[in-house]
Amino acid sequence: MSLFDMKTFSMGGIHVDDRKFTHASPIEPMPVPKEIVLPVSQHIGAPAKPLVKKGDAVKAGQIIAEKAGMISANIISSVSGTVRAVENRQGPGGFHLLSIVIDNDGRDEWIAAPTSTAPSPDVVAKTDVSGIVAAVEKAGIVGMGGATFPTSVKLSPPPGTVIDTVILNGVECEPYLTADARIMIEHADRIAAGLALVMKHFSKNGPVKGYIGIEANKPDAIEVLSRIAPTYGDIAVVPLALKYPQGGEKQLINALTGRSVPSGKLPSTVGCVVQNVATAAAIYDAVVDGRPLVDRVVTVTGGGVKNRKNLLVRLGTSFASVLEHCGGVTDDSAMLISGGPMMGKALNSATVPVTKGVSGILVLNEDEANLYDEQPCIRCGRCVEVCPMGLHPALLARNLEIGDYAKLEELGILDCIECGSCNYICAGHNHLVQSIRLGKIRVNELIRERNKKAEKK
Amino acid sequence: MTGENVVNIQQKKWVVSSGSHITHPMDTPQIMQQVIIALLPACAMAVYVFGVDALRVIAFAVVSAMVIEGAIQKFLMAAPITLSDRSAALTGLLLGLNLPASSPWWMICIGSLIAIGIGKMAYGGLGQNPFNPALVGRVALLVGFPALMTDWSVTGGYLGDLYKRLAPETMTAATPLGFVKSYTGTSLGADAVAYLNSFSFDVKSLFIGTSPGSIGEVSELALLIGGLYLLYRGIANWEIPASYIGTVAVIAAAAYLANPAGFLLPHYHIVSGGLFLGAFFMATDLVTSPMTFRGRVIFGIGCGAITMLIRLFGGYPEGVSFAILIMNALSPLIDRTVKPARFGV
Amino acid sequence: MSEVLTAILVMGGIAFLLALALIWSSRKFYVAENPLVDEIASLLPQANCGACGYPGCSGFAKVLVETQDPKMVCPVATKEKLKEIGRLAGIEVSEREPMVAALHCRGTRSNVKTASEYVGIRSCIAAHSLYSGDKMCMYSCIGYGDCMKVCMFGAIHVDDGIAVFNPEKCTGCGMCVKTCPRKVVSLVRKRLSKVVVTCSSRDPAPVVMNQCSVGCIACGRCVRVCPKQAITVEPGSNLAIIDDAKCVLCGKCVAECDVRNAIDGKGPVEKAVAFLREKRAKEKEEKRAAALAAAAKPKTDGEPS
Repeated sequence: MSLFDMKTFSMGGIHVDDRKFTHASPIEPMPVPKEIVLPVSQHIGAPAKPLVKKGDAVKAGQIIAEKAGMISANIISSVSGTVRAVENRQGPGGFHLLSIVIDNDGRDEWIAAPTSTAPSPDVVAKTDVSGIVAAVEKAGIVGMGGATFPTSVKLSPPPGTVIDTVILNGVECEPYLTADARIMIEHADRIAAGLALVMKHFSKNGPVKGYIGIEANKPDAIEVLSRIAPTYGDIAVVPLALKYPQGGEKQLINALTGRSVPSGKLPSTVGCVVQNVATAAAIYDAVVDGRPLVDRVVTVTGGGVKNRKNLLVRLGTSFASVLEHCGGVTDDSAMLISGGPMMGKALNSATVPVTKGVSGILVLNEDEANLYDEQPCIRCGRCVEVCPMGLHPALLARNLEIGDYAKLEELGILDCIECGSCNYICAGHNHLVQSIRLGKIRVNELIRERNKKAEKK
Repeated sequence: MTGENVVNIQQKKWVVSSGSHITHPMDTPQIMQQVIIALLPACAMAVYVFGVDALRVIAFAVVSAMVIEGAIQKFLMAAPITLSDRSAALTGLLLGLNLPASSPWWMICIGSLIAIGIGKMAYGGLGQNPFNPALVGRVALLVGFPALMTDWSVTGGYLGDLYKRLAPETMTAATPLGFVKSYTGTSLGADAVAYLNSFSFDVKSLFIGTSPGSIGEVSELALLIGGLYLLYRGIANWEIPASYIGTVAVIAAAAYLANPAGFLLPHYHIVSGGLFLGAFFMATDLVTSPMTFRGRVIFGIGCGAITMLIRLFGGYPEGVSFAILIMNALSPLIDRTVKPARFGV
Repeated sequence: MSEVLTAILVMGGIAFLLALALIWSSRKFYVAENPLVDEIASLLPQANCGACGYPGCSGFAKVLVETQDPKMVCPVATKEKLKEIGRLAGIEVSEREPMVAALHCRGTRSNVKTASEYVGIRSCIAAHSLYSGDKMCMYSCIGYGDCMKVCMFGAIHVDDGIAVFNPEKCTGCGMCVKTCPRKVVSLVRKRLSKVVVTCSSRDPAPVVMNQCSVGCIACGRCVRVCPKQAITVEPGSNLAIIDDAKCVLCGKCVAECDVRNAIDGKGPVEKAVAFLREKRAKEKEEKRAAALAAAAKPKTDGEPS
């Protein structure tokens, strides 16, 4: 099947050089450092409440902070040791984040040793999924593609919603990152089993179809999963054309099923649930083997790292230790990014820890990074052409500049998925995503004021 | 691939920014540069056909445009000088290519002053102007110095030699469109049309460029090569030249079919005058054309229609400059009406 | 000659017809407005700063006449003007004490270390919503001038990476306080002198000392010398805070903070501060001299020296 008749989403999108330098590097485990720092907020929603205090002994797999509220998640200790402190540490934004600091005793003792069942369709058939939501919640699983939405909430859509499609996101459209690719190649069976479990969970309301979407630059992953996944049920492994942001939830649903999620609504509205492949594997581990989320695969890459690798890292390991393990950073390195180069977060310090949503540690050097000053917008229209949500980024930036926030709402600024396609293609190197984020803050203020006034009446 | 030395991570000062951290290499200075490169075939043909004069005009136009922009930015606006984005050079080049080879140096400088000063900087600089600056300059010169701007006499190059060989009185040195327009409305109007229509082989020289006109517009072949180069580079918006020239072709064909004696053959309209230069390089100016695909098609059609209106029924032999300027004025309106389709709405 | 006459008559005729059209349309489309609104609007400062929360001074006047709400206040208008406005509108207007803006930070580029390089929109709220800023202290004034842009009275400018406030021009409208994303600006009473703690950092002393040479380390010396208990350090806050209502501008805390210089005194209080510091220096010198003299004196009880 040639690249031209492969499925993809219909609106917008850009072609970015994929730079998958570490695609062929197998996952290596990283030695666990002495200090583990676990922030109580590694997910979307309310921060977890600490259950331990200074001096407490903890074991690996122990819940050390519990979910607080409906949209929240547990924090699990990834090592055994002693709690040195529960204090403010620097978060990825540079601001303080309450974190549990643990001195690793190096013994890796678990509170309840997980089993190690080889995945197979038989195992899935024998597993009782009535407790899947509770198991996933206990294990502290959140979306591991980077969005970190609590999975237990995603697996519990509002009553009355019928889910007929479960999609696994194996696209990994961000350049440089290869964590998902390696997981698919090396742990295809866990992924397929995880998907099958989720499908079984939703099939109580009707038949469920499974899809695994993989971009065409990972032919080995496509081959492996195409062999294994269909044995677990009605699952189709679909190769997708290379186009960013193919991995965006709405774009992926559109590419695989042709359905469009309405503006402002969730995928469950069109009967779909999307999970990252790593999350699916974690779901299998939690439900079948009772293994909570304590580690994840991180791609360490970019022109500014000495040795590029895919590492299996215990959560709470600092970026600095990981980078030192990879030989350190070079003198021409310019940016340290958590995630990929399009949507990742630029950090101001390497002391931050690897948390549940960190899919990559990217060190860009001066040539690779976008360090340009802003130049005037030349109205080339490329940003309009590439926006996958059909928005007009140049117009949004202009309206923010002149302060017309009502117009921003009208133009649909809240639909923006902040994929960065406009920022990438802008001929004037304008900070479009930053403008749009500011615009969203202003529009949300406007909406709050409006609701307050309406309530008064 | 990787840098040389390893540095201390704790002491490293990182750059923090938002949005995508990588960028497409084809930015504003690159785009301008590629357009200048695409115009080189036309410049080469200009020098071949018109001789050293063409070089003189181009040089004066480019240098004066850059000097004027630099001077305005430094002394009037107290802003940083942005000549490195190549936009002044491009405007100067386009202005120069729109002028006759006989243009005096002072007229070129006035043209640059109006193009850059009024057409671009008065609105705030790059990206803020509603009208194509090179065209603003050209039209100002056309209206201010009509005789000089239609003095198609040539002393050098291929045409210059041609004129020297033939007796000077036999060559009016007029362009085909000008030739026809000067007889329109008179009793000789039909004769003029018939005269040109019978010379169908002349289309070849018109296409290659060995005929009178302003130095950049004569060689449609060279301009087409430039246009295709931009397409190959991925920075052409092909929809404007396609819809512009397509509309001209359709209207010219309709006019000819309706009245073969009164109107030129359609292919004359396509290869004469500034159509190719206008369609490929002036109407496609990013700042002044609409930002959406459908908007640009409408823009191109509008340009084509107004060009033909002026050519067939208006007072000027050539309508490209005016047509593009009028459509530039309508660009914001087109942008407001033609909005992209939204996802999930 | 007749051509000139014709031209004059024709142009004059057209002008006359157009004038008639204008007169007719100005009568037809006339919007009746309460003249009271204009009168009140003209009494307001005409700065259109937006501090009242209404669109400009005329917007405020319009709503005031409509609602006659005594709680509406223009923070910038003088007391006399406010009384007059109240009289015209027929309500008792609320009074407000004159205030000026004060900046609780002295982290200039020379005083505070930079930890990163920021590439992005040059606006405080843009930088703040992205991360903690390029200065090491995450509580500091960011210095890209959002407050300056919103001040309608020209009282703010940016120098060496920090906002600088001019109390002479400041009217206490409070727009800068609303705009600052770090909340390092507050309003204090407009008095002869101004005593302000120029730090907002909640970080503990070792962290502050590593980041900034003029940050407050919450040592508590100022708390001990204050005669009115106006300056306090809440346990765990790591910051000295002055209660503007209690402060009597004596300057003792300013004089006491002579190592970090984290409290700033402006106006006549500077003299008091200079006097107190000189007095302390003299006392120290006298003590030192006395100690030296005591050490040099020979023992008188017969012991060998």
